[in-house]
Amino acid sequence: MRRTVLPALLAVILLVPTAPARSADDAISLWRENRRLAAEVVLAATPKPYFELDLEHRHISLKTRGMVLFEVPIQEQGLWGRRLAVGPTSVVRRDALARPAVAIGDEKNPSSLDDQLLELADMPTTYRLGLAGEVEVEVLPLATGRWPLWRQRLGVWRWQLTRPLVTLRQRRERHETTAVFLILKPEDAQRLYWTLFEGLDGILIPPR
Amino acid sequence: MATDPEPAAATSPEPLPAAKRGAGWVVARTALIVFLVLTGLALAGFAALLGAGYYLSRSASEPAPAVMEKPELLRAENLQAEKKIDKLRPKGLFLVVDTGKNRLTVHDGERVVREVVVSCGSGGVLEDPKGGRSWVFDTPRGERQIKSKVKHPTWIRPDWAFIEEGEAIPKKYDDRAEEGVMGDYALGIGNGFYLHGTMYTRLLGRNVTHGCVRIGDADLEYLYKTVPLSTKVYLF
Repeated sequence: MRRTVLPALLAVILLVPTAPARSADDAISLWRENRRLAAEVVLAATPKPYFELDLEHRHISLKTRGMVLFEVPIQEQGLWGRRLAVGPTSVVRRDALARPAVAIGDEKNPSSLDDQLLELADMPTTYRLGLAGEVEVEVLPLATGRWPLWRQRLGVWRWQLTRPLVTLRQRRERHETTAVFLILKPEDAQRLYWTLFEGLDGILIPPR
Repeated sequence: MATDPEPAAATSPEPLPAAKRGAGWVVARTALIVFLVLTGLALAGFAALLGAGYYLSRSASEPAPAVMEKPELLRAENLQAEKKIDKLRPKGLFLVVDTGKNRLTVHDGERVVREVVVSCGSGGVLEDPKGGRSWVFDTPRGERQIKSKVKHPTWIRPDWAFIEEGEAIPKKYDDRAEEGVMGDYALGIGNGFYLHGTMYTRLLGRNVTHGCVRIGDADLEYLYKTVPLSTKVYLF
């Protein structure tokens, strides 16, 4: 008797509290999807491309008219600061330590072209994007090799430890921002820099 | 009989200070470590509670209780929005130009029917030494459509083409015409931008143009014959 009652009782105890929680979770998912779709309906109606920074599913995509033009996976991400909502945003600033510049090339002499053309490979892999709504995104390339990877990991830990202090200072100054760091494959970071120009509209989907 | 080293160690004066400190010292040291760890944890927790931690702060996208109670309403709204977006999605034949990778793809609905290596804008900047004019040689981005189709096109050289070569800008229109440089066909996408042929086929796949999209002969002929007027072109 005790053998059958006890597992049943345990099952009831475990299942009962999860049922309302699951329905609340579903409602939040529906609400987030609702906000995303509301933003996309507006953007897809225009002839301009737009981006989707999806920190919930860890990818960034460029879209036009509801069609995905390309998508890059986020290797690692971190967030600190003011909590974000699902909704529209735009690129207000794009900073790189070395902004790519180009002179006019001479196509009749192809050997002289390499340093005169602005191509995907010339794009930076480390840069910052300022998004509307006081969101600062730092893009870093995924390190390769044991030591660079460790150095990057230490950098991420340092960021995680020091960022709360910045957030506290900002809170005291009543100027709160959200800091996001994204680690992408170098070629994906370059592709993103090429695509996300200042003024480009998009949708921000923060993690839950 | 083996000699026993223990008596010598026992008579050494060194362990005496530790023994003097005794259990009190160990307790004090442990207490200090515990205090430091707890203080660190408390500070971290305090910082997080102040709202510094992203994941600990309240969700800004949490739905209002009224919405939570009516999920069917949300479902219906989402379905409607998805239908709206689906209607906007390109259908039939359309072109996509990736200016970074220098690739043009011909789509028929969701299917890619042909991938073509092209050359897009170099991003170069040219300034007119005599005036305040300047040109940025970027391929335009966004949605366009095939507005014209021309066989054996003639290039009407714009001002920048003369400035770039260090030549004087001609006064007569006829002096701007140049035959053969655009290949056998040209497909206009508006504002003076074309998908056209090239004499420099070895540079296909590189960003070398003044904003137009250059295509190899065979692919250009295919496009000219396959793509009708008003076909949408998405450049990014």
